[in-house]
Amino acid sequence: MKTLISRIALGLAALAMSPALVYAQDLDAIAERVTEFTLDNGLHLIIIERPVAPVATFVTFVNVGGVDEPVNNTGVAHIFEHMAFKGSRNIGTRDWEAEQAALEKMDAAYQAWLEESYSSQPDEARLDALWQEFEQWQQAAGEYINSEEFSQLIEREGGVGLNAFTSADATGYFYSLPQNKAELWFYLEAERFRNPVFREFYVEKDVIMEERRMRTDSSPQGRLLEEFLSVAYSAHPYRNPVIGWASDIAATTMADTRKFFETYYVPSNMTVAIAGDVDPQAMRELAETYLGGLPAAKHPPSVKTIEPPQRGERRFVIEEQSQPLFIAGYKTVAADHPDAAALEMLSTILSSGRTSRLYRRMVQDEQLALAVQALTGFPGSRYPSLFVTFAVPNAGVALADIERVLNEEIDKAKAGEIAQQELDRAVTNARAGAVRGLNSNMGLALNMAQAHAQRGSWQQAFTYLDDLSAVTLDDLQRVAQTYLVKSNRTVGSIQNAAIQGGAGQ
Amino acid sequence: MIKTIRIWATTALLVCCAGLAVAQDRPWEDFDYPTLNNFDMPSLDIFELDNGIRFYLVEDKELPLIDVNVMVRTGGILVPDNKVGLQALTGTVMRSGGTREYPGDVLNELLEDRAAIMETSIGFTSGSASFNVLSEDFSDLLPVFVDLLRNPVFPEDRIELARTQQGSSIARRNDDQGAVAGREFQRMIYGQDSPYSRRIEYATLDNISRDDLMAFHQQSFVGRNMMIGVTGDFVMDEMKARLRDAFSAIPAGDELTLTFPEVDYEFTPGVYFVDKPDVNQSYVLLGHIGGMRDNPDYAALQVMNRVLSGGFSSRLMQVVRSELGLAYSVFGSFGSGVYFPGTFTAGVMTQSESTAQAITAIIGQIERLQDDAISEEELARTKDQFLNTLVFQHTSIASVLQERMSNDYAGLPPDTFERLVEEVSAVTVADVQRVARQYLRPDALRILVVGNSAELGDQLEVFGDVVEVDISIPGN
Repeated sequence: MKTLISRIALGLAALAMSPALVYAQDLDAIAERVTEFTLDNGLHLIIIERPVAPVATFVTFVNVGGVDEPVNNTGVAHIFEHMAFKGSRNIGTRDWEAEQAALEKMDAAYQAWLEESYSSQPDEARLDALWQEFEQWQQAAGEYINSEEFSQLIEREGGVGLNAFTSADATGYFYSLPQNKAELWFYLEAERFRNPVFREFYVEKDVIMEERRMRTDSSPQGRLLEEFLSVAYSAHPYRNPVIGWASDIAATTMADTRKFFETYYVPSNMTVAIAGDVDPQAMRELAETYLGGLPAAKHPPSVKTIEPPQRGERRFVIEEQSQPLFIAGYKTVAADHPDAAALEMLSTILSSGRTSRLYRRMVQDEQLALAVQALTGFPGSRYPSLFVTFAVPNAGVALADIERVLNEEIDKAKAGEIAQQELDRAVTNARAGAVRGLNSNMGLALNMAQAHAQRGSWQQAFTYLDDLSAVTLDDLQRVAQTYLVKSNRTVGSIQNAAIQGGAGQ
Repeated sequence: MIKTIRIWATTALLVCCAGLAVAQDRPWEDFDYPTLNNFDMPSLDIFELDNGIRFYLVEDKELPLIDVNVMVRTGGILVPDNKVGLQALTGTVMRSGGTREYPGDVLNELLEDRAAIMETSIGFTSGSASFNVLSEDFSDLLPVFVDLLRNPVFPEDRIELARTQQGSSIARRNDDQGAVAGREFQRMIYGQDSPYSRRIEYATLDNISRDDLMAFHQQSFVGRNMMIGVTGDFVMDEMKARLRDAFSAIPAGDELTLTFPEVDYEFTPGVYFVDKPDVNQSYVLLGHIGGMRDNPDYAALQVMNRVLSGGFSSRLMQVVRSELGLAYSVFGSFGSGVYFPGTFTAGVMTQSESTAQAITAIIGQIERLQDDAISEEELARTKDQFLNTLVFQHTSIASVLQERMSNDYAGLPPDTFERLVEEVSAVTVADVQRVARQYLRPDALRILVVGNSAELGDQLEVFGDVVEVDISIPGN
């Protein structure tokens, strides 16, 4: 699953029990099936009753992502996410105290090794000795491990879809169980967020480096996107890849990860949603028994850096062996800004469905592109982000032609050429998409947890549609004129070295 | 093709693929779980029209939607070698071109104004048409759907569009490492000229005419080849009458027979390499031919697959990922095909430098399945895993209908799943070792590596003589 969490908000929506489309007045019908409560420690839970089948999906949504990471530790949000599958003092170990002692020595040795390796003139002999010491403690700690016990407990009891994601804005943990086994989920979730043990930490970082090679280094699209964000942003941490820069993944220690965990994984920064065939009162009792024990703590800090105004258009080209790709992005606003809805509708009108402007012209009529997409809220939406256009040119089509036509279509939006029918259609499809999303426990739990965590209430998952409905043609024209301007733009591409060479010489 | 390419792929990361304590608390052993709630298995209404169309209906009032799913007995297996891609173009242009009454652009606006979805596609072993609509729009749009099934016009401009898109896909097919590996591995196992591994090429696209598309549609979308499932918010009797009325006009036609040639496979090892200088990780696939679904050992093989690679706690994940840290992605499974033999495929993505080590580790796990019987504990855990997830076989009313239709299409008995459950329950430790010895051939693996030769060096030579595979695109 590769999902930008803010996009889920688009398909976001509702429990429309009877009406054809989801409207605000139907919130009452939805609310009848929703129970929410906050524990004394600040943890908020949302229970959605959906007794269609005897199963339930459990989601823990944490309002922390790549954007919250400190210098030297990009990727640490994701590293912690991996460590949250390694167990606790009770799970995954034969002898926690002995293991803990070895783990601490292992991390101390790694920190000493790191420090030496960063010194101006590293002492090779000392480096070797420290590395040996590190490996010795790693092996010692390994003696106590019950490998993958955490996952085994879940999988053995019939857990499916065990996974997690980290995005620029958020981290989410989820799986589904037979509905009678909720107690297992509460117990395990409390274990991993009260006393996580970072066993196999440095081996898991190797796994994460492989993940980086797979998603970014060895993928043309991955390389393009990483370059794109780092060029588009000067100061704001949206410039950093969620997976982390390779040197930061290497530099991040257990101690760094623990500090990050202790700062951000506090009950007031976490939202739980459970959807399925469950009894809210029983869930409440289990929550108090297990999750009530998570200690309350200071709410984590927010990002203070504000991206300064861009002083002019930015452009970059990556020469590759692969076929060309095009991306352009304009600085816009965060999800809580009044213009966010209009930008959302503009992206829908431009590229969603076969009647959309970019599809019709670029894919269908002029056959310039194999695919084209416009979207808002990239790479996140908690802070001001980008309105992006992305195109996969057809064979033989020049990138200049792709860019020219995209600009022409944006100019039409600025000139007010979008028709009311197009806007109506976009709203209708957003509402219908919402209805279609209601038949998934996972979709419901994730969307409602996110709405609560990022916008203050689960109802926002539905009332958001009313914001979309309120958008006018004037709004579309105004946001296009305000944000989609050259000086606010970053344009990037992959060009094929052979094609460029052949054409240029 | 509308939204298949997403640009946010790298912004969210998954743990995708994310024992016995002494003196530790193990409270989970004492959890007293309540009895599992029942799933009321809905009964399906099944009936057939004179023209051979078989309908499967079930009401589901949860949402104000109606979903129609047509399965069509047809597929790429019917297409001759010189026209590979004909079925895909037919499926695409059927929808994009529309009908005389509802040409493509008109159809698009009509549907999107009501947030209705109609799609058609044809794969290698079956075709499908789907129609998903708010229930209040069903009556208005049903005739449009039937018209689309019956009277697509295949206009030249949309055929040209589909051809251009396919051509661009061919031009891009070597950009993605995993796609290269998957495609070339099929060719290594089934052979270069097998219907099970052939590819669309510029030349085969050029051979496909509008007449071919019309003829392929004509023979496929007839009553005797159609099964139609309908779920959603409707009243049964009214719906039956409406379907009879709407679909009776479709001609019965002739039932198509899909013939799947045998695979003539010899167990010989080999090492194959594709050089891709723009990667720093090797994509490895290794294996040999697999088996058929009707094999009496199917259940034991499923247990074996789970031990090897089912979930985070499987052997490959535990050893190659968690303990050795050699990979984020590692997998392996003995495939059983309904129509033709599957493949036994294991694979890993690992940094160039550790390629040989990762391959050796995987082979070690394959051999371990043969050399040592799995423990009773591991068998029990694996069976529990399977049996406790049974409840997820049916998580909706629609899933019951889908299971029945796909069993019927494949010629499998309706209780196929229930039988599998019984058979899995009966699998023993000895069965797992026996099937591992009988069906796995670690001595005759074909190993394919798509990677960076400059970084890889001569690592692969320990596995045998390395054959370099040419992936240059004919006609480029």
